[in-house]
Amino acid sequence: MGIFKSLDQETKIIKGCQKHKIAAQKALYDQYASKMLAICRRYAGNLPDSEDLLQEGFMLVFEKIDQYRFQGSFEGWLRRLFVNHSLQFLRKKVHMYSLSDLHTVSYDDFQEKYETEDSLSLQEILNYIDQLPEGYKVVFNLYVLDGYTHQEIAESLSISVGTSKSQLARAKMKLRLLLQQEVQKSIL
Amino acid sequence: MKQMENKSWKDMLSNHEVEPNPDLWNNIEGKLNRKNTLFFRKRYFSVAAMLIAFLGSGYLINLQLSEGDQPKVISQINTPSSTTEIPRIQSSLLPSFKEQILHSKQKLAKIKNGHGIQFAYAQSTSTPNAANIVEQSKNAESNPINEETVHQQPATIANESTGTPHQEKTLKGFLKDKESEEPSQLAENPESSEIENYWEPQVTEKTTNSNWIIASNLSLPNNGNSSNSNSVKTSLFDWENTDVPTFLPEQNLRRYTYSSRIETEIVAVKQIQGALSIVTGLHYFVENGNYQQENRTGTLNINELPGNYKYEQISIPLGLRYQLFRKTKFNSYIQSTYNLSVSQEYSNSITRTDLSDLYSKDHISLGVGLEYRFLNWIGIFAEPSFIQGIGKSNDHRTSIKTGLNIHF
Repeated sequence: MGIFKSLDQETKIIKGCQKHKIAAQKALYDQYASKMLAICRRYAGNLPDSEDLLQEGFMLVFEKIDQYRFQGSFEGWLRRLFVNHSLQFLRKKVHMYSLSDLHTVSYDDFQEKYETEDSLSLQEILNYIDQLPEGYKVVFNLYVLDGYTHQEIAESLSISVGTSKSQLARAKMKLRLLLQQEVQKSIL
Repeated sequence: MKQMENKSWKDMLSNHEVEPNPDLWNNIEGKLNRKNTLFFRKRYFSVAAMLIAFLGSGYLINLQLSEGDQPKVISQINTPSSTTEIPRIQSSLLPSFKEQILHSKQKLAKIKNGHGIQFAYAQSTSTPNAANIVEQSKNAESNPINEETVHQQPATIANESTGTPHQEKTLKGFLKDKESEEPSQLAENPESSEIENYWEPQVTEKTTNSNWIIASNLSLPNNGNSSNSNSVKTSLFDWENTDVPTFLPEQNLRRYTYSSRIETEIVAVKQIQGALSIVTGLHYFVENGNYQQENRTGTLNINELPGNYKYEQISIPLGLRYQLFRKTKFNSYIQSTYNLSVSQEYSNSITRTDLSDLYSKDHISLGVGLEYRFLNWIGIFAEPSFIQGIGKSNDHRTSIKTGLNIHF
């Protein structure tokens, strides 16, 4: 019953936003701002840029909310919009996708499980992800955390599927290295 | 190191939240206020502009249509004669015309004294001059002339009546009028005979024949065949079987000329399968205009009684709509409806039988529409349609419906 109520509430908010009602827009912001800021934070790598992305992202949401057809999860639609907006921001910020220097690495070589996932805090993981080079970080975020497929990543970043896989593999390898260094430091 | 409690780090990252700076909303709100104001202005102005443009264009289109389709109405006018034949005939008729008047007076006296109508008629036709008149009239290719009126009208009345007091009064009044007006004018001023009353096809002066389209499926019809100029014979007396060869059938004609028509419709369209939808709603049609009534007795006695009329009809359209294509903001469809009449109202100045001769109760219509959705919930459309009355082949009109579609 509670779920239906909240869905009904969310529908009302969305419809209010579609009619450009400021109260509804505020309600939508209150509901999703913190989650969306976390997404922006993961891609931008720092808080000031993330907050800029959040502002611009919400302006974009209110502009394009007419296009939402109440099919599928609204949060999913919102996340995708913020991810795409973050990618655009990164494209402008750094030309990180001049990836011609990367040689393709077989993805199968890196199909290993993370053994560290139960032993790290959220903030530590975020810090490690932030230490990844931009190209690795974006692919890692898209694939591992936001559930994009390699095909979608390739289309979003205008790279090949193979490059996306190799970027992910290198990101994982880099993370593993960082974690090993951290473990060694803690032992010493 | 801090342990993560029963959650994978992926879930933790996915659901991770970062509390934004409270000032962020203020910045967003400031931008939104400016943008919302612009949005509302844009929306209201665009709706108003669209409405004005559509109503205006509909009005202009219909003006064009009505100008190109001026009704031709036969009307009686006074026009200087350009032929020499008619004055010549009239001059030659003048003496006999005077004699005719004298005969008519004698006839009246006889009628008063109890003589039969048939006798009066015989007297009239036996007059040599009158026979000449009729003969000359037959030979003349031009239109009938006034003198014939005086000759034929009494006979007409005499032949169809049985000599009641009312008929006597009518005949007397008629002769008195003719004696006091036309003959005296002809006798005193022969030149005035150049101005004659006769019938000729004449394009009437442009009336307010504009068709309104007020939107929301509101249309302004058009080239109605049956009602631009409608002639309705309200009675017909056939004289063919009588022994009076020179008399034409007696007719009462009414000609209807509409001055304005408005057709409005509220319909609901429900998609039933794929591109197919059903259509129903309420349709209102109103026509204002005027009519001329012409009472013909023989060829001459003509009265015109201009009057106004109003005709209203409410009907229920039932039909199907098939979507032909849809592309971004445009969609096109074909629609056919059967309009089931609910009520027909006529103004008091006309008789129901007249307009029932003109307009069918039920109609079918076929139209092709094009819609443009300039907002998500509202669209404008234009739908040229052809409307045909059931059972009356000449009751048809075209109509360009324009209006608004509200989608919900």
